[in-house]
Amino acid sequence: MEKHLSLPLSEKDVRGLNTGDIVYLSGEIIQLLGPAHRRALEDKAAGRELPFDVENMAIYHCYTCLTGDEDHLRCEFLGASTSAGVNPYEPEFIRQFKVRAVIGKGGMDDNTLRAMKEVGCVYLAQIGGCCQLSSQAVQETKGTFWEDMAANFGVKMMFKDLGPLVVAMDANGNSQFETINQRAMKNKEEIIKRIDGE
Amino acid sequence: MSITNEMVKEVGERLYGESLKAIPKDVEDKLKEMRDAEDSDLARFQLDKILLNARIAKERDGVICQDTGISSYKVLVGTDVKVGCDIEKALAQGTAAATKSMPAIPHSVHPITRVNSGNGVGPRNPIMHWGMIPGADYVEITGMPTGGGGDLCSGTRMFTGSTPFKEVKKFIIETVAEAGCKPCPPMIVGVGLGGMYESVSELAKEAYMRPVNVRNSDPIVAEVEKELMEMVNELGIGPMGLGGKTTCLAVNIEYGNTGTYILPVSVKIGCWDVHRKAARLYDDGRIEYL
Repeated sequence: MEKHLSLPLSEKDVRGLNTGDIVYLSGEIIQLLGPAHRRALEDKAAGRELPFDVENMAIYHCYTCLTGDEDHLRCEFLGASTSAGVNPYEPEFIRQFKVRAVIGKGGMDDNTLRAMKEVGCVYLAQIGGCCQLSSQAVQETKGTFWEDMAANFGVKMMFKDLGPLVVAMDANGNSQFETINQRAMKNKEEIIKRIDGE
Repeated sequence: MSITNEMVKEVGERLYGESLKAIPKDVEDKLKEMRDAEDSDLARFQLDKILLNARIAKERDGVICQDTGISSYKVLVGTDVKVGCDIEKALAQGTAAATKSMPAIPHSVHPITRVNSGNGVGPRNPIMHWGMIPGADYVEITGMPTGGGGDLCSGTRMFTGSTPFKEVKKFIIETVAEAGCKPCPPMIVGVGLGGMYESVSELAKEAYMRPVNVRNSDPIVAEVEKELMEMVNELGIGPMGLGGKTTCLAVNIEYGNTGTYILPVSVKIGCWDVHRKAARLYDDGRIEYL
């Protein structure tokens, strides 16, 4: 099923999404990579003010190529980066910040899936390598934060119909990645047996 | 007359950019062919979008993927051409110029401090591969920047010479299965067989760079390529690891003789977005983009 959704999202919105659904997402989305997750959690624990509020919003594991100066930022292109590196921080991040959607590629682990089910959050997989599809959805680059983190800095951007994004982990405990991976491992065992029999 | 620094720099800049902005024709054709053979709706949908993304990249003169990689060049020097410059230095200048002009995301960092050089070049970056062409009156340079996603899933294993070849097949299948969704499948699997430790990953990269519709000229090797490709596509990983028959576009193998007591095997996993663009430079100043 194909759905066009606008941020913010309610818990009901995301609980209604199932693995395999195709989503196009509009609104303000924050680029956040692994080290920035760690910093966000540390700052929140220490009671420090954060440069973003992602409650009911979406975060994006992505790399962005920006040009221009602070007042006139231009996004040359952007695209999803591998989410696996964020696994150590994402479950706690989802619980603490009540984020409704995580966009990335390659999926995340069981701990993250559990946090998603508990809070009401989905994982939206971008088609890896298709950076023109994501770049053409950028409406405005609103600003950056944590520039001292070099390549792991944060970006706030407005999107119109970012997608297609595949609901690969839903808020009801299902992961398409896990289903396919388990099947692939079973298929692998059979292929290995066949090779052994040669 | 000789090949100048300016010529090589210009070629280095263009090849880095253009190799990132288009998928080769053989890859596009194979994606279409496998899309038509897919049973899974989601797999077909994603393959259509991959092809659409390539069309948009062409229209907008933009990159296919945001991972603009680490710059790498293969340089084949003809024996009948006069070179009047330091090719490696000029190509580094070309990469740095492209990083700014494209622009690309600079990824070149020190391996211990992780400090980014900011311009895509640094010690041993770009990566250089060298060879010669007997009788040619030109230098042929191929731009083949490499992204990190596939390399993270790649691996080399040193087998003993007495290992049955089926263990090698198992290693290749296991490496691909382990990679799963991570390298943005459909993948291209490049396998290096033989040589020694120092050369086997270079063979794997060479295999990865070969067009997906060309089999190894040795019929025994070509047969193994076909067999392994069928097995990989039986895994069911599919585009982006979300299921389907299209897990790889090809298994390409390059080999070299090895020692009696050893068998080095290297598996280079790469995504469908292979970067490959070449040019020939002549010492009368002509440049021909292939």
